[in-house]
Amino acid sequence: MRIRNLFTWSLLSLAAVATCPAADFQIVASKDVAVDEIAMGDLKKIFLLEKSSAGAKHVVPVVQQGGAAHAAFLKDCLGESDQELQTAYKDAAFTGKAIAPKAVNSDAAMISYISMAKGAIGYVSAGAIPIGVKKITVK
Amino acid sequence: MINTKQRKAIVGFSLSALFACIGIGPAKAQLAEFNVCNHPIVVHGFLSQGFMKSDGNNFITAKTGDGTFQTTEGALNIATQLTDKLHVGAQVYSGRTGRLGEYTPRLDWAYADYRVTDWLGFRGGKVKTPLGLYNDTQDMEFLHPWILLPQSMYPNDLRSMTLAHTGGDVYGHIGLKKLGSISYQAYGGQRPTDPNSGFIYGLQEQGFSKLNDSGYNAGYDAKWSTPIKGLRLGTSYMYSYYNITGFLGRYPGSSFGTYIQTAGYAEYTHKRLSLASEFRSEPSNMALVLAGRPLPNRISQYTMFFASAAYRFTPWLQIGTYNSRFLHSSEAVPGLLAGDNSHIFDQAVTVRFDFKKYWTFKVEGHFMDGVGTPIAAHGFYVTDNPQGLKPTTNMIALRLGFNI
Repeated sequence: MRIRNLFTWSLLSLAAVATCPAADFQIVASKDVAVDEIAMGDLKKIFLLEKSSAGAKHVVPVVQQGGAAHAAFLKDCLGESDQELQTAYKDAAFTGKAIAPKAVNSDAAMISYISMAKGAIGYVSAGAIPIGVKKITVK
Repeated sequence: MINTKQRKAIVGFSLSALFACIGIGPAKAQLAEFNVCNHPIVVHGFLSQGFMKSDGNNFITAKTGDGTFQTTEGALNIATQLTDKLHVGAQVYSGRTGRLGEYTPRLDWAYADYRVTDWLGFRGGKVKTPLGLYNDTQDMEFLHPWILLPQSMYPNDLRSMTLAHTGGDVYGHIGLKKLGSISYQAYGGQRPTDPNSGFIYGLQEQGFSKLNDSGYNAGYDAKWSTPIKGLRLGTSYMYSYYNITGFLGRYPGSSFGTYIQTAGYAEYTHKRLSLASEFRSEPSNMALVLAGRPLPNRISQYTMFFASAAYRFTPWLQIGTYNSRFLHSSEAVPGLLAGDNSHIFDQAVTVRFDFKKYWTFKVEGHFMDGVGTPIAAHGFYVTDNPQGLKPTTNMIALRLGFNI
């Protein structure tokens, strides 16, 4: 019985991870963003400036400058180091190919900025309370 | 007309203003941000100062044999998103390395970018030219582990000829689902002219004077982000048409024709390791007319290659090395130019310190074999080495840079 419970618990845990890869952070967006869920691949492309739309509407990524949510987002979503990400943004900014994303320094600043911006998408810690913004599920 | 003294004063003031902004306020991602008519305007900039000391020969038109600080560069850019699909921006660059650049402020890029959708966008204006791995970023050393990019295909003395074009681009990013994705850019436009470039200095060393050059570049670049994590493969093509007029002694002369570059490249990153390699072939066919008399065409072949490896030991320490190879051959033009078979090989070793946010310091050694030839000048010039060119050159370079 104990082994069966353990097995069931393990399966449930795996299912939770598979459907919610953003375990240590949550994706938040302005209320005018057209989607409620987004594929991990598309989310990565938006933050690497390769994609500028979600649900056929323009979106703008917003990043944090450090902290636990930023570290988790880099590791679990982008698969890049902070240096690689900053280099990609500098490449875009100094060649004019794209405008480097707005950077904020806390969950509160992220929520505050996104709640007032149009088409903004960002991330905060899993424990942050996203007031005035839309929570996006990562597929 | 601004004279050299005034130009230096303007550049000095601009660079001082950039430095004055350093350290103001909390950590941020741009030099400045402000709103104009509800549009956020972002400003970025960089500034770097180097030192070079060599034995053997003076390199890239600087007095490296004596040890020189004659290598400074900086840029400021401004950009804004006007609508969901349209952004505009411009960057001004100024710098000097030896006789190159002369602190002449240059419009590095200035264009409007209209992104219709993710797979289709248009750019118009002065646009950075994609060619191989680094052509459009070769004047931004802070993006790379190296102080000097592999000089076989990214020579400092010739970069102003290919760095940007004034014209139009079409670009996009196409998702291939399980096969990864492809980024492409196709372009065409007028080639910039630069009287303080190695291209002009090389022709002057062949005896030409009062030179004027014009022409255009057109081509494409395609990068495939493969399904193998961290592996990118790419290919580039650039067709360049040149039209040069001048004098050889008292005789008027002209030269016109093509340089065609085809590149293949690969880049692989795995955790802290970065590997890169690029191969480029550049055949050239230039017609020559001297004192109204057509001469046989000058047929040349340039072949370039590099392979590099860099490893980031800590967030603040990266060590890397590359091997760069430049080969040139050309047929003789009877009565004017001798045939040539020459090379420059360079083994470089770099240590990069990201010692503070926005700051980098690099130390780099170069061990070069060969000097190329004056008829395809590539870093080594007789004018800078009046004692005669020696077959090998070793150089140490240091560079301190700030960017935000």
